[in-house]
Amino acid sequence: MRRLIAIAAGLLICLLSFAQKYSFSGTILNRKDKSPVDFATVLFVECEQWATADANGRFTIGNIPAGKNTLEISCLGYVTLRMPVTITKNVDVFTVMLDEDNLTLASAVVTAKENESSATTHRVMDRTALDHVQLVSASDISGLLPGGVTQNPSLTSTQRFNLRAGGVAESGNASFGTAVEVDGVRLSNNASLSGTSGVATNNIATSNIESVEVISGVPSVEYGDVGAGIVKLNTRKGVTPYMVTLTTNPNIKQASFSKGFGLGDTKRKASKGVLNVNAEYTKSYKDQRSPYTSYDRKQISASYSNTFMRGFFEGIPLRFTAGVSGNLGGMDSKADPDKLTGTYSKQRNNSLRGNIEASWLLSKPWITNLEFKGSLVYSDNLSKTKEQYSSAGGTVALHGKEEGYFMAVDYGSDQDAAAILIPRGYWYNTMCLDDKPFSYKLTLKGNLAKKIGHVSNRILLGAEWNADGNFGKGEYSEDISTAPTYRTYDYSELPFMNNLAVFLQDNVMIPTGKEGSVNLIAGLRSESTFIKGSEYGTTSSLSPRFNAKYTVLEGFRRRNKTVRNLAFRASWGMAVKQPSFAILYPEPDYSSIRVLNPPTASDGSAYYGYYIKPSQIEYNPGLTWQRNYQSEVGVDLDILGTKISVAGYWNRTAKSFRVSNAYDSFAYNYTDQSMLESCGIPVDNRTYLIGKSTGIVTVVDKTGALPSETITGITRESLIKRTYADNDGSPVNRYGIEWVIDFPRINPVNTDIRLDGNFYSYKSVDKDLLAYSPTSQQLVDGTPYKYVGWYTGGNKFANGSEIRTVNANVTFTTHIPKARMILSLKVEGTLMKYSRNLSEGIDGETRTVAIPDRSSFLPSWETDFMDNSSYTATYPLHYSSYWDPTPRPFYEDYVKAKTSNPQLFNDLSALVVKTSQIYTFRKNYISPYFSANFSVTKEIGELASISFYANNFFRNMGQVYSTMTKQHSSVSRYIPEFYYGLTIRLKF
Amino acid sequence: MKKFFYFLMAAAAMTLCACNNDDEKSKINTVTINVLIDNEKVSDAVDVTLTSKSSSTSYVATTTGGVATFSVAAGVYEATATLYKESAIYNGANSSVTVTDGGANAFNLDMVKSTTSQVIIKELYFGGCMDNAGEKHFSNDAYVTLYNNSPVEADASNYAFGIVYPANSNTNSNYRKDGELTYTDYLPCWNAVWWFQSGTQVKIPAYSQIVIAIKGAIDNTATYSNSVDLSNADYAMYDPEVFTLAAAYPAPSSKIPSSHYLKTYLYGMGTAWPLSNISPAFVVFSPEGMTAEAFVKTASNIETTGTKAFSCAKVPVSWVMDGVEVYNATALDKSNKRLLGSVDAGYVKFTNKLGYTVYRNVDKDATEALQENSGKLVYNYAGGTADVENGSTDPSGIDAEASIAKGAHIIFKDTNNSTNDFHQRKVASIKK
Repeated sequence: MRRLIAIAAGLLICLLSFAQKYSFSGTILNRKDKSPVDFATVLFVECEQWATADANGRFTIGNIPAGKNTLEISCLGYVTLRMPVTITKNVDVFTVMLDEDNLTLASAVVTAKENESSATTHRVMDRTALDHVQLVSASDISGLLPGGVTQNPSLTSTQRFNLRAGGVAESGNASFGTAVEVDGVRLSNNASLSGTSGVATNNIATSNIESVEVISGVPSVEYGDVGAGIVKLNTRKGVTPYMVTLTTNPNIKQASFSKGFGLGDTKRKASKGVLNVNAEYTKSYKDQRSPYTSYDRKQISASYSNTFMRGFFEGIPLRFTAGVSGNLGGMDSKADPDKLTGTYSKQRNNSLRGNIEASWLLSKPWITNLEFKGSLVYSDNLSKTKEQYSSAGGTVALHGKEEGYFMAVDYGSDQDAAAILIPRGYWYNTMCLDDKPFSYKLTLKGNLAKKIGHVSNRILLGAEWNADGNFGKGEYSEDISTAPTYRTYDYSELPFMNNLAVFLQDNVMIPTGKEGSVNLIAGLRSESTFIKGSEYGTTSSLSPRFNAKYTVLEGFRRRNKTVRNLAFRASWGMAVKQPSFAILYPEPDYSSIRVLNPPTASDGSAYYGYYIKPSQIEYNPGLTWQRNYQSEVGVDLDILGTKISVAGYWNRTAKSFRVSNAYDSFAYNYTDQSMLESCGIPVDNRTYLIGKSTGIVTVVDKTGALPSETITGITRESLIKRTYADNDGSPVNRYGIEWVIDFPRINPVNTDIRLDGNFYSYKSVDKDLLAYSPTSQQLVDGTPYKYVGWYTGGNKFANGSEIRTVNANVTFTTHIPKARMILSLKVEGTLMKYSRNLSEGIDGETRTVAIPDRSSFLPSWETDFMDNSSYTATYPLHYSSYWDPTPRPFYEDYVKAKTSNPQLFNDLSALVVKTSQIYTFRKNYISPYFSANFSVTKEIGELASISFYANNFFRNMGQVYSTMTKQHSSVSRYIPEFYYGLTIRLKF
Repeated sequence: MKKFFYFLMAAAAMTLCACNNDDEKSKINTVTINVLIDNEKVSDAVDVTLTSKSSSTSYVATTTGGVATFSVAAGVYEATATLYKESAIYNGANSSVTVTDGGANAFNLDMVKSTTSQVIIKELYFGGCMDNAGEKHFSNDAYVTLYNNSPVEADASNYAFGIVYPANSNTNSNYRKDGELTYTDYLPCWNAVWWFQSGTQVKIPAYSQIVIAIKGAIDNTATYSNSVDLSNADYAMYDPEVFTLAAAYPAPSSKIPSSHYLKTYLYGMGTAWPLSNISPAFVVFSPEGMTAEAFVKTASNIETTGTKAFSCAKVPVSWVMDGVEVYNATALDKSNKRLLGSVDAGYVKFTNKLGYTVYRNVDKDATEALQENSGKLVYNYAGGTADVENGSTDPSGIDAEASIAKGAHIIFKDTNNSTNDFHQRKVASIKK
C-alpha cells in the first residue's frame, strides 16, 4: 500500500512539475482571397491548449510544452486542417491557409470517414455527405455506415438508431441503448411509459446538421446511460451566408432557412460572438396516393457562441455556447377524407431543447480546462384520437380502480361511477394520451494535459447529474360521459429518476520511435441512480472502459512508402443503461369481469354488473440496470494509398429490461342468466343492485308491486395476471466484423471506389422460467382456466434465435472538381441473410419435440425437430394451478393424464404450444439480393447546389428464395422501392 | 463522365427491351373435362360448368361418354357439375383447371355422392349494413335460419354450428396445396363451434323454421335502421363467459329464454366468434356417437395450421347436415373452395355491408307439386339482386316469404351446390 501511495505521489509531482512552455501566434487566412478567417478554432490536441481567431484571423496560444504536437484548425465552411507541429521556441508569425469546403476540392467525400485519431470505432459524416444523401431524418445516415442498407426516407413511421444490432425482434433493447445527442444535448427516452425503445429522431431538424459522429466502439467514460453506440449530431456554428434549402420527393417536402450572423465587435475590439439561426419546415405524407395523413416538423433553432479573450479572460479564454431549439409538429390525419366524418388522429411531437456550454482554458498546473454543460429537453407528445362510436345495445365503460363489484350506471346518476353505461345510439369521443417527458443534465468536468518527457498525458475528471421525469397526465378523455374504458394514470405523479455519475479517465500518448505511438485510455465511471419516493431507492454501478491503440507507422514521411499507415487498436468496456418508466412504473393491470348481464328489456334497457380487480405495480427488489459489455479489436492500414479499416467486435447485453407476468389465484361471484330466470319480477320492471364486496345480486321491482329478490350466484375461481419489471437472465450476444476499403482515386476518371461491409451475428436464447396462462380460455368443465405453465424462455414455440448477415456495398464516386460535381453509384448487396428459430431447455432439457401431425400433442421421439421437417410441440417445464401454486413437472403429469385423466390431459393441452409449419426450425437462408442507389450533387458557382438521388435505381423487383419455406418471395420486403428525391440549396 | 452516360443509356435500352408485348392475341384451347364417379366415366349426360376465375365468365358443356369439351382461352377455371342419378345427387368441383396454351388441358371432375337433409340452412345473414349516416359498417348483427324442408317434424337438438377455415374465400390457407384442399374426410371448423344446451329440445315443425341469432340478439334497428330486429329470435348464440365482447354479444332480449342460449367452447383465440362478414363457409353438423361439446373438448380433435388462433376442430364430413359456401364478390378470382364437394359443390357470390343476405332458392317443381300449395304461391319474386354487379336471384320466380305468409309450404332447393341453391337477397327475410 505504501508503495502504491509513493508511486501515486511521484506521478502527481511529475504531472504538476513545470516544463518549458512556449507561446504560438498566427493568422488564419482564406486560401482563395487571403481574407482573414475569424472565429476559427485553433487547438493543440495533446496539450489541449486552444484559442479562437479574432476578426483579423489572429490568435495566440500560450502554455504549449516543447516538442511534437498536433495542430488542428477548424471553422465552419472550411476544411479542417490537422498538421503535426514541433514546438521548440515561441512562434509569433504563423500563417495558415484554410480551404473553403466545397466541391472544387479534390478531398470532398460523400461517405462516412473513419476518425483516424480515435482509439475506437468512430466515424464522421460531414455536410457534403449529408447533402449528398439529402438527409431528412437523422437516422437516414445508417445507410452510410459499413454495410449500411439504404432506406427510403419517411417521417410517418418512427425512426430510430440501432447500432450494431438487427431489427426490433431481437432481444436486448438495442435501440434503447443507442444514445443520441444533438449539440451535446442527450435525447432521452427514459421517461417513456410505452416500452424500452430508443429515442425517435423524427423531430430533429436535419437541415442545419453540419456533421454526424457515430461512436460504435467503446466510448469514453464521459458517456453514460448507454448500451452500445452513440450518435452525435452537430449543428452549424459559425458565420454563414443566408442559406435556403428546398427538398422534394414523392412523400416529403422540406424548406429551410439558416444564417450565421457575426455580431461584430465591441468598442474594445472584443468579439460579440456569432448567432446561428435556422428554421425548417418539413411535411411527410404517409402515402402519396392519399396525401392526407401526414407528419410535419416546424423547427426553429438559435445558438449563440462566443469566446471571451479580453480583459479578465486574457490568457484564460472562455468559450461560451448557448442554444435553444423548438419544434412544433407531429402526425395528423384530420384532413383524410377516407376517415369517418369528424374523426381524426393527431399526435404532437413538440419539443424544446436548450443547452449552455462553457469551456474555460485555465491553464493551471493542476487543471487545463474546466468545462460546464447544462441541457434540458422537454417534449409534448400529446395524442388525440377522435372516434365515432355507436352501439345497438348500450356500452359499458370501466374507469374504476378500486376492487369490488359494480353495476354500470348512467353518467348522469353518478359521474364518478366505476362503470358507466353509455346508452345505445351514436356518439363521438376524443381520447387523449398526455405524455410530456422531461430531462435535464448538468456536467462539470476538468481536464489536465501534461507532457512528461515525450509522453502526453490527459486526465479527465468529471461529475454529471441527469434526471428524467414526465409532466403528462397520461390517458384521459375530453368527455368522460361517453369515453371508452380507460383508467387514469397520472405520469406527473411518478417520481423523477435522478442519476449522479462521477468519472475519471486517463489518456496517455507514448511516442514509439519516429513514426509510431501508443495511445492508452483507461476510465472508470461510477453511477448512482436515486429515485425518491420509490422502493427502488438508490442503485449503484461501476463501468470500467479501456482503449488501446498502437500506431506502428504513421506520418508525413511515409507518404511515398508502400505501407503508409498501420495501427492496431483494442477496446473493452462496460456501460450501464438506466431503465425507462415503462420498466420502473408499469401501468397497473385491471381484471374486469362481466359478472351479471341480465336480459335486455323490451325497451332496450341493458344492465351489466362488473367485478374489477386491480393488480398494482409490483416492486421487484431484484431488478438491476441493463448492462452492455463491449469488446473490439481493429486494424487500420494504408498500403499504396489503399486505406483499409477492419474492426471486429463482440457485444454482450446482460440483464436486459423486460416486463414479466405472474398469476395469482382469486375468486368472484358470478350470476348467469339461468339463475335470474327464477326471479318472479317481470324483466321490464327490474332494476339490479350488486353487493360491492360480495357480488350478490338483488333484483328490485321498480313498480314496488313485488318484494326484492336476492340471487346468490355461484363462485368462480380464476387466475389474474399481474406484470412486474424484470431482467432477462439470459445474455444477448452479438459479434461482427466491419470493413472499409478505400482504393486510391483513379485519376483519369476522377473516380473513387469504396468497398464496405459488415458481418453480423446475433444469438440469444432465453432460459428464464416464465409463467403463462391462457386466462381468457375455459377449462373443459366450462369454468375459467386454472393452470399456469412455466416455460423456459416463455410460451413461444422458440425461446431464441440466431441471425447472421453479410452485407457488402461497393460505391463508385466520381468527383469532378472543375465541374463542381459528385456522382455516386452505390450497389448494396446482402450476400448472406441467415436466421433460425431456436428452442433450448435449461441444462439440455427438452423444451420442444417433433410431433407426427398437426393433431398430435405427444412426440414422435425418433425425429429431431431442429434438423428435420416436422410439426413441433413445446411444453412448459412445470405447471402450477389455482389450487396448488407449487410447480409440478409438466411432461410427466401430462403423459400420465393421457390415459388416466382425459379431462386433465385436455385442460393441460391448452399449455402446449404447437407450430403449424414443418419448417419453423429450419435454417433460413435468403438468397443474395442487390439494390443500386444513384446520387448526384452539383454546385452552381457559389450561389447554389442541387442534389438528386434515385434509390433502387435499376428497379429491382425480383424474387429471393428462402431455404426455410422453400419458396420464392418478392425482394421488395428487403430493399427499398424505386424512389427519388431532389434538393436545391441557395446561398446568398 | 461519358462512360457513365453510356452506362445509363444501356440500362434504359435494357429496360425497354424487357417490356412485354401485350397485344398478342389470346389463343383458344380445347379443354376436356372427364366426369368421373369412383374413377369411372359417367355414362349419363351431365352439364359441366366451367367458370373463369379472373372474369367470372361461365361456359356450359354437356358430356358425351363422360367427357365435356370446351374451347376457351388460357387461364384458371373452376369446373362444377351436379348429377341426379338413381335418387341420389352427385356433386363435383375442381378449382384447379389451369388451361395453358398448347398444353394437354385434360382434367378430371370427381363426382361425390351428396346427402340431402331434412333440415337445411334457409338463410344466412352475416354481411352487416351501413349505419344511419351511411358512413360506417355495422356487423354485430347476424343470424341463421334453419328450415325443415320436409313434411315431418325435425329434431335439431343435437345440431352444432361451425365456420370452416379460412374466414374468407379469398384468404390464403395452409389447407390448400397445389390448388387442392388437403382434407378429404373432415372439415376444419375454426375457432369454436356452437351447440344447443343439453336438455333443450329443438324441434322444427314441417315446412317451418327457427331463427338463431349469431350476434346481437336484440333489436338492432333501434340504432341501425338498416339492420335487423333479432329480439324475437328463437335461439341465440350467447355464452358470455367464453366470448366476452359485449358489442357482439349484448345480453339477449328477454323474449329469448336462457335455455335457448347456445353454448360454445373456444379452442382458438378471441373474444367473439369470427364469422366473416364478407364470405364465410358456414356449416351445420350433427355429431354421431358423442356430443359436439365432448368432441371439441377433446384435444386430439383440434389441429392448427398456424398459431393457436388458427385452431380448427376436425369435424367429420359425414356429420355435416348442410353448408353454404360464400365467395367474396369483389375477389372472385382469388376465391377458393373450403367446403368439400359432397357438402357444397358451388358457391354464392356476395357483397357485404349493404344489408344483403344469402337466401335459399325455391325448388319450383317440388313446391308446385304440393297440392296444398294450390293458390298460395306468390310469383314474380323481386327480392334478388340480379340487377347489381355479381348479384343473383331465385330462378324459380317464387317469392318464398310471401307464399309462406299465405300459408304455402315451400320446398327449397337442396342439391348441395350453393351456385344452384342460393342467391343473394337484397333484404334479410326477417326484416319486415
